[in-house]
Amino acid sequence: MHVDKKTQKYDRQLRLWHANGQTALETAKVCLINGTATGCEILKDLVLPGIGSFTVVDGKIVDGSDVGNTFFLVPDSIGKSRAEVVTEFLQELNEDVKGFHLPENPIALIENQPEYFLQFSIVITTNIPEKPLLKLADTLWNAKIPLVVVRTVGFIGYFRIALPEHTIVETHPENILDLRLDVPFLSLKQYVKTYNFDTLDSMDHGHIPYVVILLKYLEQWKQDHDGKLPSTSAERNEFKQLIQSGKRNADEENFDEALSSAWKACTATKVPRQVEEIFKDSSCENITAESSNFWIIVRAIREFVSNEGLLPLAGSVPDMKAYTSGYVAMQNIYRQKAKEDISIVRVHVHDILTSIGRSIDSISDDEIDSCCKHASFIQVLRYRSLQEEYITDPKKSDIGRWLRDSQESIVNYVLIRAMDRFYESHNRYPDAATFFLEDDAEEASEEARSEFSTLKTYVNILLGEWDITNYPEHLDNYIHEICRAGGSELANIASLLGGMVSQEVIKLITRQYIPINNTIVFDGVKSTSSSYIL
Amino acid sequence: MSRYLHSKNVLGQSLFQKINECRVLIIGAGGIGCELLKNLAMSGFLQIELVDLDTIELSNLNRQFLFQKQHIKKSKAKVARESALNFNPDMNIIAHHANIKDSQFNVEWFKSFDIVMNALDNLDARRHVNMMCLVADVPLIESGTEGYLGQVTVIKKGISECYDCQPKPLKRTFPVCTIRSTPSQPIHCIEWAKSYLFSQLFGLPEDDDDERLEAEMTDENANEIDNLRRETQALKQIRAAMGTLDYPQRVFKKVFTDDIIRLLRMEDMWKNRKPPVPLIYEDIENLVTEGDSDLNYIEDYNMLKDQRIWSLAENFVVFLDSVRRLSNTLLKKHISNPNATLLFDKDDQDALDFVTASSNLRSIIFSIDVKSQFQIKAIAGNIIPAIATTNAIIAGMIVFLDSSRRPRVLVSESLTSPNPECRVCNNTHIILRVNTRTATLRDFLEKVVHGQDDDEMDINEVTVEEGGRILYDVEYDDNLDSTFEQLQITDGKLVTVKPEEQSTSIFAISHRENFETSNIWFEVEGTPFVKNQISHNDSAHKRKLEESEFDASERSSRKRPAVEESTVEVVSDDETISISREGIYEHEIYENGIREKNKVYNIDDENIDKEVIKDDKKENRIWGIIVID
Repeated sequence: MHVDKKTQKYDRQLRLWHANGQTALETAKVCLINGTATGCEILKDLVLPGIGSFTVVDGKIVDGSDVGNTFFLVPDSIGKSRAEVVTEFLQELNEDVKGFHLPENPIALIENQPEYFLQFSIVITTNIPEKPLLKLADTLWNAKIPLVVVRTVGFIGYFRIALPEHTIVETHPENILDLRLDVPFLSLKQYVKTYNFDTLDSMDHGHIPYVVILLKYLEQWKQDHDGKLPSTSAERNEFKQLIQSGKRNADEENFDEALSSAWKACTATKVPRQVEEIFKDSSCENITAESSNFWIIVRAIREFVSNEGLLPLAGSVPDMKAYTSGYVAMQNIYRQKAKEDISIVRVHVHDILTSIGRSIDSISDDEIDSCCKHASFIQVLRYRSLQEEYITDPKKSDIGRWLRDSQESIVNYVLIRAMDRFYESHNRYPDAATFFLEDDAEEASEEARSEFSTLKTYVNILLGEWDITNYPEHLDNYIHEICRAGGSELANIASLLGGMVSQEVIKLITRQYIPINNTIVFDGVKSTSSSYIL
Repeated sequence: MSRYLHSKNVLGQSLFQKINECRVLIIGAGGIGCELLKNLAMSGFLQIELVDLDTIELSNLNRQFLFQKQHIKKSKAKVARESALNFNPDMNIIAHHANIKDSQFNVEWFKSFDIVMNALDNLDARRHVNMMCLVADVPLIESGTEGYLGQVTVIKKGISECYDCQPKPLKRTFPVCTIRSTPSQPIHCIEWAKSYLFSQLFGLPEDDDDERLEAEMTDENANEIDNLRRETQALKQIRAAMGTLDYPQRVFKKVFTDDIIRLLRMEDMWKNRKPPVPLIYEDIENLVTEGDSDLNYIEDYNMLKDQRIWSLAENFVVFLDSVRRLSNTLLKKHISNPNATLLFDKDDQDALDFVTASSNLRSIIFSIDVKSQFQIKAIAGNIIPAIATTNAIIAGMIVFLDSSRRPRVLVSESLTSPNPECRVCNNTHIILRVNTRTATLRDFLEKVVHGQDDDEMDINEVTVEEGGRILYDVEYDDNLDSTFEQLQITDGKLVTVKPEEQSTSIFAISHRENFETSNIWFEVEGTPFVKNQISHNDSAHKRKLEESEFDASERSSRKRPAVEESTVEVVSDDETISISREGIYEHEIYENGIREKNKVYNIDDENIDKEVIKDDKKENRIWGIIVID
């Protein structure tokens, strides 16, 4: 018997995002604009784990410097279409992935035929100037297709995710424990009653599951305290002493487990604030035929909560010291209750589906199960659009505040924006590199000074637009650094950024784990990275 | 445009030149190693050595991009080298398909690098490299990833924490009786299938089962331990029938029926536990022939098959079949090597089938949750999830390291000073150059250990160890007249000398064939037992203080002096001889010098302290030279 090759090949990643994540990945169509060093690194890290297909749109012809910073390119590639050769090499990494290329100038394509990009599940751009970028961003935003904007120059890396809405069920929290110790449900209460601690022999007493111990003493506490939980730290210590007093000898690990979870038992189970916020969201409020499965299930869970007061039970039980039989019995009680909760939610889901004219089997039971199980941890991310960031609502005061702190990386963002302005009027990036080469950057030549002051002008224009009046002194060093880099991409920064971007792209495609919101700036000089909402 | 234009632009000419010349050692050509090799190559590093003992597996291909399907089963180091050279033919890469613990990789070899980068996947090798780099005083960059997480740190002797400065979590172990008689969790059954049953049937026949049982014997379990021992013996007899048609059936009946019936007779054991239920071979066989509907997996190559829970009949069929398959493999090996054995490997489908089916059958017997093959693989193989993206980030970080105040996604922390309690980096590390074929343990103790100390260290107070075995202590002097070679202390081995009071010294052995003819017995680099050596210690300590006052840039420019600076002058009465510290030229020169002159050298102490030890009895004989670090 043989496990199929695919499962074997992807074994190590299936452990992170499971079969459903892998399926999402394998159906994804990824578009890369410009096969730069960074672009290739991003695609490499997506082709290896097995995306469905990729398309490289790039009108450039390979030159020597591409060969120098892109691992896949060899001297023979020089003079050929960059889209074609990088696609060929990337394709070799994984035969399961389909690779396409379009050797056309992406800027012209965006200008003349933006609807071309609507066929993809995600679009990644590297080194696209401001104007065409904004047009592309608009097109994708309206179609709800995620866009990832990536830039690397010298030691600086930057990327930005734009997408109207991203909903996540499987956020992979560290611990999804939900034991309802403060509000035990009926079958759990009944089970606890079957234990009479006093009559158990020492073997059995040492194997009472800690959940039962906690429930028993909490019950006793509530009887003595008008039905209230221990709330102050003094009360909690008192509660711990109560448990401690029941311990027959020092070896009873189950009592130790109960003591270490005592604080948890004293915490009231309730709907987490962030989930309440999601319930209040207008997408949850106004369910229409266009609503996504996520919102329909979340609405059903909201109905459940308004009747039952709590979220559906997650149903899993942690490992603990117990007899196998006792453990399994308790596990079954939690599982059974979780199943009951899910079936109530399912009825709500079906009602909603019927009311909006969709068939009741258009949402699978697995999808409902998963959402109920992770109900406490669901997330909704709403990104700001590039339109807002660049034109209608720039974060003027935040940028000003961050800029005043010389430890922040935001200055790199300002530089990248200024560099784009430079490009717009000169049709090239600021480049003083060749003027530095001879004596290793110490004595800048006349030409270098001129590049520096031109770029500084654009920085000042931007600062002006953001109403930032105090010019931060440390900015000069960064401007100098950008001029020195001369638009160069460093292979190593490209690799690092490639890893970071592809990681976020996988999160977006699989809808698992929580992606960055919305900008990351990496400063390779200081080896720091910061995230900003811009 | 030049290939290196981008790098030269950003790094500047002189830094780029340094990078070209830097000698880098990468240990491990896996997920991080592949990325690292690429990044170093693309950043202009040209002198690289790469060590990896593994061969390429299918499950590597989702992230180790230098490998493709046609490379499966080939050496990772060699294929990585070839793939990298395809992309950048300027590089000089030496690939070793070998274990980093091999004797060829001795301390002198480690010393020949400017920097060592670990891209390893196991604790044992990490510890070894950590130690070798401490002894050789070469900076080490240590890294690792797990799923979406990863870390990188720098280990530099005396400046930052070494790998062992913080205790590492121990592997979980279970009492033998839990595994063999009273399992209560899936992991107990998996451990039984993998470590006990697999190795009894296919592993080393003389394994340590007896010892393990002995070690855990107490008054209460003596009886059961005795039974278990008999159980193992009986299994060994069945093993002799390997290859016969009914072998799988006999094994099944032994471990899933007879042994369980025996356990059931221990009534005390089941007073507070649910008693096991033995499996009856014929009953399950009937189930299979009647056509268990779940058995269709054999045809169904569904992607999720290994994530599904198998039925009793499925486990039964897979068990018998995997025993047959493993037996055939082993018997085939016996043709060329009668002592061949199999080792459990999570990526070997036969072994994994065997462990999955056996542990599940045992779970069914003991009413424990049955697991899918996917889950069992993770537990039995200690699988760490791994993806390309994280490896790319971490490998990228290895090439740029620094620290800062307000990090976010990539959290950086300042390096911590070495832990003064650390039993690894807080020792003194010494290089001992010696002819291991002629030098005896007695020579070592009398001339090196005893002779080192001004107060004449008492050799009755020291313990000498190598790789966990004791070579000498006051009550064990059997080895005194054995040569190093006879004691298997060869090139690359680390000998630990623990005096009762002073600090422990670790001697890295470096073999010198010529010492025999040159009248030199040994050469020591470093100062052993530092804590009690007032005269040497003072100067050594002072030097250390001075060094720590340098700022980072000064240190890095000092780190690797040009070749001329590393040459020390040894001046005799009428001759000056140059010696490189790199361990390349010394013996030639010593040989000439000593044989011809037979005189005690005066030491010109401009760059380095040297001390020549003379034999008291024979005027002209030189015992050795100590280079004081």
